[in-house]
Amino acid sequence: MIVELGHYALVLALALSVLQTVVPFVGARTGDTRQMAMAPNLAFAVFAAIALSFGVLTWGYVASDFSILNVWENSNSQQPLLFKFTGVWGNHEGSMMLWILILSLFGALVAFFGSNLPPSLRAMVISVQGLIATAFTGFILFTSNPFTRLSPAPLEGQDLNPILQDVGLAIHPPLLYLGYVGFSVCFAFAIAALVEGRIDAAWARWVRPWTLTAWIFLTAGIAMGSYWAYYELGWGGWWFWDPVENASFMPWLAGTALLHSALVMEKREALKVWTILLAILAFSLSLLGTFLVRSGVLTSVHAFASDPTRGVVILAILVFFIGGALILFALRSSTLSNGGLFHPISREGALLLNNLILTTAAATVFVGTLYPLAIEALTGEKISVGAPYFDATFAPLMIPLLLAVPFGPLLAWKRGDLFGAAQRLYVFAGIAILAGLVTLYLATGAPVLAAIGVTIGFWLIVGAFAEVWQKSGLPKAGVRTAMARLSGLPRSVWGTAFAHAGLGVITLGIVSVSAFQEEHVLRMAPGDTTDLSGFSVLFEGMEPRQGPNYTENVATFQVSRDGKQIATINPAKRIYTARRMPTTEAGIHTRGFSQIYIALGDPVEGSNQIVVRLWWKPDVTLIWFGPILMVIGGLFSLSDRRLRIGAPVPSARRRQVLAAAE
Amino acid sequence: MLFIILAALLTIVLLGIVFWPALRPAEPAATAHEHDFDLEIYKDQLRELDTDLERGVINAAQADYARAEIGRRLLAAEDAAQAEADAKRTAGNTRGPMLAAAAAFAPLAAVVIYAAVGSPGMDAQPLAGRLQERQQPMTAQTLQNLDVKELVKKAEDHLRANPDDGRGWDVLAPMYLRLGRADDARDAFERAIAMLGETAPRRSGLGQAYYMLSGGAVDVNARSEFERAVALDPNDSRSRFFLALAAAEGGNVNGALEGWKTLIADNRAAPEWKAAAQEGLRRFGGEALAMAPGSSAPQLDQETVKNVQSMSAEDRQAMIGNMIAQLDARLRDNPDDVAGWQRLIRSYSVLGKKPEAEDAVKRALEAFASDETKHGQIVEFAAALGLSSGGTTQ
Amino acid sequence: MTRKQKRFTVIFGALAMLGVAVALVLTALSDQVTFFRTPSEVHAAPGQDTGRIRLGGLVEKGSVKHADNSGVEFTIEDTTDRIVVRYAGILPDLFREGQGVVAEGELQSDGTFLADTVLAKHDENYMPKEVADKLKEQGYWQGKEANAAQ
Repeated sequence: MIVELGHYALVLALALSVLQTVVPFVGARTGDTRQMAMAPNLAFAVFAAIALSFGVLTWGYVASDFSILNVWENSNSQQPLLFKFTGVWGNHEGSMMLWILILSLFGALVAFFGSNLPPSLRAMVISVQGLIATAFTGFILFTSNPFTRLSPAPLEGQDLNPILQDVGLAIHPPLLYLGYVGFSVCFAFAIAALVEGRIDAAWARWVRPWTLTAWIFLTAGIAMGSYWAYYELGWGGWWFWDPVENASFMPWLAGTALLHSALVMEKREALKVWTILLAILAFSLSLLGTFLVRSGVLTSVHAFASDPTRGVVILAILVFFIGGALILFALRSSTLSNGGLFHPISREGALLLNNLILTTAAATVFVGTLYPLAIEALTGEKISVGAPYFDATFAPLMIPLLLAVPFGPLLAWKRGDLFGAAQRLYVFAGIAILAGLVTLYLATGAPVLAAIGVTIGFWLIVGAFAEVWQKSGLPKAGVRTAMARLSGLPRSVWGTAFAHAGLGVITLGIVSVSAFQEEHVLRMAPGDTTDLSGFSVLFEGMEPRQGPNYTENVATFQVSRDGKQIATINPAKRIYTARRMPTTEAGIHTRGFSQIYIALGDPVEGSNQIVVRLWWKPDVTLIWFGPILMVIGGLFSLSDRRLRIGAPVPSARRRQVLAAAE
Repeated sequence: MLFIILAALLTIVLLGIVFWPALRPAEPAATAHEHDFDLEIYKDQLRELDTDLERGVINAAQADYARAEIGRRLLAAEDAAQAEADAKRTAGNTRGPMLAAAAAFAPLAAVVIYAAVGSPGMDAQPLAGRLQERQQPMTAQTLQNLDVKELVKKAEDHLRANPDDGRGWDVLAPMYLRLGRADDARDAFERAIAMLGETAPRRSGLGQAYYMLSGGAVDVNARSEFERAVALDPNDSRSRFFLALAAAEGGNVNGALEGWKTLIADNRAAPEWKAAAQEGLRRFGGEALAMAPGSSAPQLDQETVKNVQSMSAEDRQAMIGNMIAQLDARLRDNPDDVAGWQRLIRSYSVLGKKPEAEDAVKRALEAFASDETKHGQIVEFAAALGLSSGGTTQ
Repeated sequence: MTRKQKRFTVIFGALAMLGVAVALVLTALSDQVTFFRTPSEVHAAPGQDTGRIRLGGLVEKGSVKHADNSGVEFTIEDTTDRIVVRYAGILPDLFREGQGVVAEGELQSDGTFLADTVLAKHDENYMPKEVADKLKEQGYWQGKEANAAQ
């Protein structure tokens, strides 16, 4: 019964979503305050219904209720409890449920924090969210219903795909979805602005916390996904330009651009049309990501479901929202008034450059991701576009952006002084170049490109704090004055500094790993020793072990340096019993920012040798520390007092006018 | 019925939340106007400008310019707000029919859609509940809420007092099987057969006990019990499953697959043995194509594990431990059994008991000290598992 | 600068950026795209595939040989043809004889294929999409449709 109650709650959520779409919309268009006032409650009710439904599905997984087809297909009573939970979204139906759960959560959050929004804007935003919820809840109910029942219930379930049985999976998709779906709020704001025909600096201020929230989650989600692929797939790579990775990266690029252009709009009321377009694009790319992953049109290491009918329906939803939004945009954008003017060299100009580069980069990723599809559809020829393409297009675009980043915050609004900014930055540039030269010197024979890369990385890191440094007045002002000034700085300044420094840290990590990593593939028998970048790695042997729902062969490697034992690394080969599916568990030892990474291959027949792949990955963890800094920066910005402006109290004067009118 | 009440309750509560604001009397004077919200933002921007100037973050010229710009927005918003306030508000003229239609729509749509996609009246079937159901036939109704271990304990106490109660042994024997206490199960089945006479389930249960005792192989004893059971009842699913397994182990994979297939196709067969047969098909069917026949050494009796999968991890661990202990004891008495030693060594190492595994290797090597071929086999086997063979090699 | 000039600068900048991007994309697409081939397609048009390609098909049974160093050699076959693949590295978990596989690398002058990446997809039911499509075209691979729907 509890299962059917969850099922009913999902159906009810669909019905309420329809109301959430219609009632606030009519209210906003007719100026009916009562109907507008219903908007937040509708958002709460839809969230409650979906949360109940999701809770029931989760209960089904935890209690191993195999009378639910979806639970039977994707879990097993022997699974550890954690993976019973994460199994909920480790499959198509469940992940769509998570998608709408997060969507309705954002709807409820807008309703909850929306008291500082004009009622009609809030009603309109909630209405657009309701429309999205209607489409996806309907999609779930009619094409991928997680509550399809099975009678009689089978004894044992089929187990969760072992590759997904990992703690990384526990957090990665929810974070990613929080990011993806978070952009639906920006999208809804954009549509609301277009429908209402009113868009100004205040609008940008209202959207900013939502863009930031989505961006923070998406950043964390992408970084987490990258680390998950790094250690779980056992290939030693941290980014594969895989379609599914691209699917999350494109909204990130668009969202980052949106974050910056909204700033211009907020301060100068310029770039209005562009900002609206970006808000639409960021969510459209998120939808595209959902489509790419869910339809399985692209082959990917991540696609765990593929079904053409579902693909068609998602495509239809995609066309409806993206097409509809763009048509509305085309019809209404010309009515929006032009905003403030600015000199090309100014803060606005720098932010515009950022936008141009980011959107162009997103476009190149877009082309690379969809080109194989287009070619196959047109000519039937099967091709693949891999890392070399992205290295050749994305990287050259990024270099000017990375070089320009430290200038941005130092330029004044409206008309900046590039020369002045450069003067203030030369010390930092000097530090960066020095760091590059030192690298070149230390790693003798280091490629020049690597030195340039390191220079850029340091340039970003020290340059990021140039604004903070400059505003502190150091070294002229005393330390005390400086501290006072720093503590008085708006948090968003710190946010910018951290986020930009994070970018530099990522750059350093990427450059270091690509230029200096060492890799060996060899056969080893127990007792064999090999050298890896100054470490000596001893293979002690293999030992079978029994896990909760798998058996594994665990290898033991002893790592030593100059005769001193420093670490034991245990990579393994697992076989998950229910699906008889083998997986590779990489063994990783972290040393400073660097890692030693060992993955096992197959045993060599007729001997006690095994193929072993060893990597020395210098500074690899910086690739994920960078995003952490970015997230910290985002949180700083989000906590900025200026984003929390309360609802207005009607002035006494106007209240009298009202009283007189009644 | 309860489901309908709860579903209705859920609908009413949610609709209540939704329509609450529409039911309250509207207070237009208390609500701010659209553009008041903009004013807040611009006023805040002005305040921010002042602090920035104070802190010396921007210079006076920049501040003046920005102030003028924000001021223009502020004025525009103020004008708009005033215009709004002067205009007659349409507040309060809520269209009753429209709201009523909306209120009726949600439950109607929900019921219609749910009727189309839902399975009302179908109960949840969590694993725990289903296990209980399966245990019910073999336990007394009153005991159905106790767990297996307690049941066993009660039955044992009862039988200690009344060792001649054949029905008691008959109930206890399958529970021993579940718990993996193979020799107790054998004993109990034998007593039940002696006291109540033979039936197919008792014979095949005894066969399964032998199967477990042998450490996961259908040996001669087990086989003869299964054959006896099939003679008593040709439809006995358990025996059919194990006889097919015996065929597979004996190299007759096709015969085994055939046996399992007919078992699965037989709708009188017990579901759990159908499932086991599916598993057998999958293992032997799939691998027979990929691997040379006979290369799949029997694992730590997967079938039995499958069978008692419903037990808690602890029980299962106990069951495996028991089986290994029995195997160990048997090899002490009868050490000339290479396959047995290998099974024992593998079992210990699969469980992560390396010292025991290496001890077993040592004992095996001692047993085969005079037989060079078998000695070599053990050394090789141990090396494959990454075990040291006690100084003989390295 | 006048209003017009400012706007012009911005638009010019945007167009320049777009131009650079288009140029980059076009060159990259002409150089860096890898075609998917089966062994029979490779043999049908000798000399056409000089750069990197993805070679897909089934791993021929009994063809996997481990060389002395960590290298491995196996044969990828389709219905009509076969190509020997050499690869130094770790084969993926689901690499099995008789199963679908995609190898990425370059054809050598001696007719063998030197792979730097070998992919077998994660799900054991899952055949790499290109391989499945090609084999279906050739009428060689039927069934498992039910699995694809999962």
